[in-house]
Amino acid sequence: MSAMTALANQLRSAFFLASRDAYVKGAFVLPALLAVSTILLVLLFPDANMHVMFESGLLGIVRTGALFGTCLAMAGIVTHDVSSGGLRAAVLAERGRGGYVASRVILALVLAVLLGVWSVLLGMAPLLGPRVVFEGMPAGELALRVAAHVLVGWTYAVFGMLLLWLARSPRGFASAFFAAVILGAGVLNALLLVPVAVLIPLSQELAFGAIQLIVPILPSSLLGDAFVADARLVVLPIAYVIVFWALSRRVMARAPL
Amino acid sequence: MNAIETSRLSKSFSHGTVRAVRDVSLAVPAGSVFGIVGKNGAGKSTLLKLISGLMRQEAGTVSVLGRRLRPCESDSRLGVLVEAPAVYGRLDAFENLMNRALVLGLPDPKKACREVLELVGLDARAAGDGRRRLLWPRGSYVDDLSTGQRQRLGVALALIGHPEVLLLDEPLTGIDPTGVADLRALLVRLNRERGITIVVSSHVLADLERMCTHYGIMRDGALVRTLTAEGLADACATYLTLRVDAPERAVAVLAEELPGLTVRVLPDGALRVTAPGGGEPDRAVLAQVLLAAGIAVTELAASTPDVEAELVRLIDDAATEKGR
Repeated sequence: MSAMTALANQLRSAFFLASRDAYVKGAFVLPALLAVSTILLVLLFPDANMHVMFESGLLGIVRTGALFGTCLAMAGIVTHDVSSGGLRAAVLAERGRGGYVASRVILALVLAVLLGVWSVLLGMAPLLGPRVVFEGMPAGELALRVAAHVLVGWTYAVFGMLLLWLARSPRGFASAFFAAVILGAGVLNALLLVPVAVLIPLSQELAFGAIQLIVPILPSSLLGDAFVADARLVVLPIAYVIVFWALSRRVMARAPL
Repeated sequence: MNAIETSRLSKSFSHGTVRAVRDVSLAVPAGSVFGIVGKNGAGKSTLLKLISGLMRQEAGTVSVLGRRLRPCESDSRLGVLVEAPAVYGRLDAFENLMNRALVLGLPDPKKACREVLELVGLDARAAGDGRRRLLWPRGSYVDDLSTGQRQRLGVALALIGHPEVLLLDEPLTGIDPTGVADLRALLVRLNRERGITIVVSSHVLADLERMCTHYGIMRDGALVRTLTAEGLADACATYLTLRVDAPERAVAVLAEELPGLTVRVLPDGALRVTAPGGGEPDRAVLAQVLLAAGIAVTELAASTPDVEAELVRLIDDAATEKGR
């Protein structure tokens, strides 16, 4: 069986499982809950002039969906894989271990995109109200910001999967939710800043230098007020995902199941 | 060609202090039903995990149907049930089978699932229908199935995709007696009709006796003995136990005067005598020959062990028997 065929089979299995996973369903529900309040206002006060800021109105929902939602969905899927015997069903095939990891990484990207699109649609729903106006950044910048959230959500989710595969003992809702929360809160960024924390008591100059080097490559640098539309938007997440993917392959290649 | 070959397979735990599998070199003939027997902790499950690629060996190689596998590599031609069934508890049985069918790339996964569910006797209500539900689904989660039903599902997961080799670790555990008989008959039928090689471990030796064509005895991680079902049957032939005053001379005399008999000196110095074809050796002729040679016979008794007793003896036997 060729590598592409094996990967295609693993992907079909991954999408099949994702379509039935409660965490994935929850990930789509969460941004909807957030959007409900705005939509209710539009419905209850159709004659009111509403000015909605993109940053607070739309990007807040995108952050919940594409970022936290992707982390929750993938943490839940991997928790189910590891805590049940289901993981064996995936690896007991040719190229099973590598295919399993690749399928989950690809699934994370697909879910991040779907959740991003879903969040945007939810965020734009208030526009159905006749007097609703969106204000803030230009449409082009808004699209790039949404893309940044999708790609950073993908990065965080793949990092979270690596952590869960390393732990190999997550159990149930608590594990998955805790993983999603710390990932969404940016634990990856905190870990990348550890060298700075180590250097501060030794040399403030070195620590400042380290900050200059590390901050631009933090995934969180693609979000928020410091957003700059450049090549880092795509290169940085892909670079992180490649590293985490390679580490995950190595971990899973040797893990006893 | 052997279905499975291992060469000096080894695995230890706890930084080498527990040697779970020690230098196991195993050859499972294609088309056989190979039973692995041994006490708890003998290394049976670990051996099956190493062969199936679920665990990485420290040394040695594994070949499946002529293809050498890398450590932790699996083969789609293997159907595996080791320890607990590999299932997602919050899906129904049909969905679990569908998932496995998709991983294997089967052309018609739903049909394959229905066929294998019928084979293992898991009824439609227990299996569920695999339909996707938007909200929290109702139906038979695998978590809600009985132990026996879960075990049947585990066998189904091993069978789906028409594997050429089955690795089954205690496949009949937890199943009701009728189900045991049905599944055992199924395994025998799959072996006889489709030529599927089956490697099965079980504590219930009576179950193995009804299925196996070959046996491997494991003790303390090592494969101490392999024998065929015919060899086991010979070992279970009626035999005479003699106590004589000169065992070595008695062996020589019997070898010369009655060359058709098989004589072994047991660890306690007694002689065990079997006749070709499994019948009881003629006591009168035996005693006459020994007495004529001036050898006194102090004890003479006949025994007919059953397979289970013989297997237990083989498992417990710690010494190499002389004269074999």
